[in-house]
Amino acid sequence: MDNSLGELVQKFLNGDPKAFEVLVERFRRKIYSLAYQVLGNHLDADEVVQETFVRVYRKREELKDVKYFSSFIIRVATNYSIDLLRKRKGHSGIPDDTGTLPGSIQLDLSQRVATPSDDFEKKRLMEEVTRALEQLPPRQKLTAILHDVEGYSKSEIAEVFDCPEATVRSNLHIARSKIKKILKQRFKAKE
Amino acid sequence: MTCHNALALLEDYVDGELSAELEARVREHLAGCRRCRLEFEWSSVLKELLKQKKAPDPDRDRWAETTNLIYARTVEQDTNRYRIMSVAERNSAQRGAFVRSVVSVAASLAILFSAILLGSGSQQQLARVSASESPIFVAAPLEDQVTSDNITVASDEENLRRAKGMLLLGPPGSLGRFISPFDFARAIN
Repeated sequence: MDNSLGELVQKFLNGDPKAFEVLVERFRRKIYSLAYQVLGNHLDADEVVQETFVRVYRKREELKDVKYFSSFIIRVATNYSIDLLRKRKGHSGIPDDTGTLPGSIQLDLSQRVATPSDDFEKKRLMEEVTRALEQLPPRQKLTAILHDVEGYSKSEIAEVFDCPEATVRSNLHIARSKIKKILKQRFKAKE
Repeated sequence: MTCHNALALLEDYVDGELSAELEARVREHLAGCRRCRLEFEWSSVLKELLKQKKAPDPDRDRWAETTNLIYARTVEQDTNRYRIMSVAERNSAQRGAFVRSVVSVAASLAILFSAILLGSGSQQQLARVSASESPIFVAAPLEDQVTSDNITVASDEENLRRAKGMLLLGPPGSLGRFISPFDFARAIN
């Protein structure tokens, strides 16, 4: 955490309303992006943004140290997103990837995605990834989004979920493995 | 390095989190193993796709609305509360709340004691009426009523008056037991 953010958080904890407004400006895009990736629509993402800041404001006494503010606010947003996700559509998990790798796939995927002209293929792959993400259990989905989409480090995610880094690593690997399995099945069916 | 080991390290390899030595060994394995290389390609593509998966920016109006709602539910709400209730008003409100609590507790206790006193008084009245074999119509065992020499047969007018009293004051067993304050006074004497 940089010093300016630390000072800002300290002012907010001391009851400075201006500091809170600056924090809203600074974090709202991050919260919105995370919520949108998890819930997939603007309305729910807006609700998460609003509720996250209201909860952070009301629960600011729970923040023990200013250096944990980022993980604190992301945790609030993550928990509320998971609640909303469960409320909106329930959840149906997919089995762990225990099968062997199919040897029949002949796609040179790196080439396909890396080729700038192949926008249609990239879009199709992106849609498949989005669909595959939707099938993951909330914790794995959030871990994959936080790490691979939003760019948080494994240690930051461990702080958010209040769990060991090894658990984050494991969740991330399982999530990726499941997404790859779904993608392979889709592409195998379409080939 | 076996395929099993290479695949176990693959995600960390894609994330660039392996030591230089392990990274070299995985790279060497991938160069010679088509199946693991394909798995690596899937992992790389997936990582790249997820990296590019950005949420669209909400428009300005939406941001403004959400931000205003946040402020309305947090900072402004607190500010308004503070403005409406000054420190003196808050202290006064707290004192008022305390007085209201004391009064309500006192009222509850008064009602409770009244009920207890009335209950015991009523029992005493019944006992006194029974002991003096008063002609007042009270609930007495049928056998006592039949064998007693002091059975008073009320006139139709008296019965009508009692019925009216019951109608007004309730059934026998509660206030209807006493037809009027006058009868009540006569009963306890």
